Amino acid sequence: MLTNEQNQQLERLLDSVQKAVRYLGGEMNQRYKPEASFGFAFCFPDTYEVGMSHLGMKILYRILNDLDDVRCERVFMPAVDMADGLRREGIPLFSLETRSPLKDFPLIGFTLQYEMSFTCVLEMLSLGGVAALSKARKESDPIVLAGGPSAANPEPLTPFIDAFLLGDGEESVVEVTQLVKALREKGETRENILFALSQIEGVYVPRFYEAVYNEDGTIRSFGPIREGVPPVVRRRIYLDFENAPYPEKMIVPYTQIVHDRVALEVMRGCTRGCRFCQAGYIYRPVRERSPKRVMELAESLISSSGYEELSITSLSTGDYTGLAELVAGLNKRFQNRRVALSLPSLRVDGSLKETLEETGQVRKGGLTFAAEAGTQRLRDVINKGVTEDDLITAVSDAFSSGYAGIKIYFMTSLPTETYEDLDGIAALAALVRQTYFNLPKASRPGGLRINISTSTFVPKPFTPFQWCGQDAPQVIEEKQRYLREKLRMKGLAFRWNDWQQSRMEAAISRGDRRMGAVIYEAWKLGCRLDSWTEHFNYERWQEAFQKVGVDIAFYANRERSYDEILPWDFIDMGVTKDFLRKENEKAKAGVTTPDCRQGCRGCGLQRLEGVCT
Amino acid sequence: MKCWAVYQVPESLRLLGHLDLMRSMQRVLRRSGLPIKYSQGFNPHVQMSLAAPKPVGMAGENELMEFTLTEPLPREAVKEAIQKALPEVMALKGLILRDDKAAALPALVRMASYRVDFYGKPPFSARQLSDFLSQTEIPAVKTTKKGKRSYDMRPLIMQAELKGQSLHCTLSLWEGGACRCDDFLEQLCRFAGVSEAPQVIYTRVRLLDKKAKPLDSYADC
Repeated sequence: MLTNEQNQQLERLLDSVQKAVRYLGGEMNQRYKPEASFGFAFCFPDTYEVGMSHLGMKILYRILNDLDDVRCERVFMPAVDMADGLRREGIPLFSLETRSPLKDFPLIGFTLQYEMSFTCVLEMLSLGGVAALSKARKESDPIVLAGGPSAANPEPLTPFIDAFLLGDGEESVVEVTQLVKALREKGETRENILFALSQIEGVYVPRFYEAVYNEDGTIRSFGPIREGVPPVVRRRIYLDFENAPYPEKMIVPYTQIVHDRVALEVMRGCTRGCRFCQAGYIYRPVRERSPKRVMELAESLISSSGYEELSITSLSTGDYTGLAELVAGLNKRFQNRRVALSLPSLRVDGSLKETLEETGQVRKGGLTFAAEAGTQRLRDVINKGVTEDDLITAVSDAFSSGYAGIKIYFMTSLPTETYEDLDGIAALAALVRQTYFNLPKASRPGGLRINISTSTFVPKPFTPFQWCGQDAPQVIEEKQRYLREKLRMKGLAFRWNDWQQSRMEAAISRGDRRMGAVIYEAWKLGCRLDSWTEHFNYERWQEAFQKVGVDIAFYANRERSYDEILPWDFIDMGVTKDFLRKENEKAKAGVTTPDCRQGCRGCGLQRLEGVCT
Repeated sequence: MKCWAVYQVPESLRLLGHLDLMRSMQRVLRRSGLPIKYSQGFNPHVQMSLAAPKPVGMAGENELMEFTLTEPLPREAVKEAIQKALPEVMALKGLILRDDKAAALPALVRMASYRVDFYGKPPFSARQLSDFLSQTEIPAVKTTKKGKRSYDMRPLIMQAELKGQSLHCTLSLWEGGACRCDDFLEQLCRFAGVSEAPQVIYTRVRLLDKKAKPLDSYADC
């Protein structure tokens, strides 16, 4: 724990920083176990409001704190004023529960949700008194773990992380914690502990592997350099989703957070197979919770939190079997308790009307529809099985159910995109607008607000587009300028993402081990909180690439050939490289692959016994 | 049935702002499972009010909130439900049952008593404090949304004394005139010639009515 003197300095610092409530802890349903001997610091590499909105952290927080003698405590990235204050005053970054410095935890685990949070991993370690570089850590220093979707390609972070947990963490985080605890108690060496970890399925210990490169910069070979270390690491898949432990008493922050509501995960995985979507491949197979279990969980979550809103979450909630009945049941149960239901990630090709009418009963929020691309041709390329008719029916249902605020989301710079596809976005926007005005005045809500928002496509590992190059910056800029002109319409607002962040994401997400040096340099130059536009500094990142001598375009814009060894090839995600290659070929030919619920498409999961039926 | 809950905002939560506290207490009431009265309208919310906004940076020993139950319940049942719904670090100190027609809680607040704990010795003496209080006028300036406004602080100070390491004071707190505790300390330090602002912890000890009677000591009615 912090010393008395540090605590006093901290109180003074807290008086001077913005939103000090981020650093106080003590919320409803916090787990406080100072008596437990073994500490696990669960780190989220972004600020409190962002991290507290993340479901995975809440699940693992509960599982770890349910273990005897283990205390799992939360650590978040402080905002810039607090980070600088901590450094100035010499106060180490601490956990919220017991105010223990990060360096005092034998285990530290980061959850990686997006690449632009990577510099925060380094910053948090450094603020917490832990060496950022794995090789600089001493025998008794904490062991640093990482998991989450952005660990799907762990290579860029290998210099900083001692062990990665790939796939669902529900079981592996327990196995890892218990093993480290037992071996630490026996006084085992760090090296031996890490070797023991490498024997757990789904755990990747980068120091036991080596990459050799060709002259052109591509990978010549990759593999283990120590006997007994698995050449292929298979992702963990947790199958008993129905009975999986769930944070039934979730922490209720005092302050408003990004997703300030109960999140209830009704389904994990998605079988639609949109070719740009990493989550659609790395979370297979689809696992659903029964409506009965969902109702039970909803009851305990609402009554233990007091939240006013319940969000039914998954990658594609519209695909949940019996969604309409579930929503009706939840509404019936919670209506008189003034709980609003929200359904993010609805697809537009299902029957929406009933569901919309149910969810709108307490309060009407906005609705977001993901169209992804402007023309049927391009939607076929990316395998987004949505048609213009689907979208128009959906928005028409939404308008007549009383929703006047509609957001339609597109990606630009998708593989094979042309200006015709951009024209398609504008045409679709105009059609949506017209749909509103075609409704009789009496049966549509007033105050039409259509938001068209676009982001730049980032090719991701373990997707059929993992070989693609991203559009060059000039091309992206030109396309955005073109769309801005095309989308000048009344009642319609257009928002787009700056390409700089997308470019960095494209470079880092498909980076190899050499990317670690770039991230380290960027952090040294002062990069942190890069997912915040106000803190992101593209010039600094460019400088980091230059200093280390790494070419951004090699990673972001280069098209890879099928026979190239990709940095993440040693990971068995379930989905095979062969399947992804076939999907990429089908994309080029504009051929779609239907949802595998209607028949197996041979993605690779079928190889694993009992996983996909 | 109208209820007043008396609760504590511990030192560790002193940096909670008024809006965060409001939202949190509404969720406390929702978690309690009690039949709480909701506002009518498009966006129904728990009907409740806090006795007085809690300044950021201040702990509270006997803070109050008022809410209404749609059906009468035994006091112990209400108490137990609220206590269970409060975060562990906050304590329920009492529950007062009020008549539905009794005056609203915020309207009764006229002053508050505070304790200012210094890290180390207070930077002024008891003598300096009594000299400060013996002034007939204490000109001060407060910054409001409308700009700076000068006022006389003296009539807003009911009482102040040093006890060991702490300064205890009672200050006016209502729309007819309010004196912030940190403004009071600042004036006092300036009077005593203290150059550097001392590091302190502010605690609002009690909220008082116009007869200086603590609201948390009201009887049921």
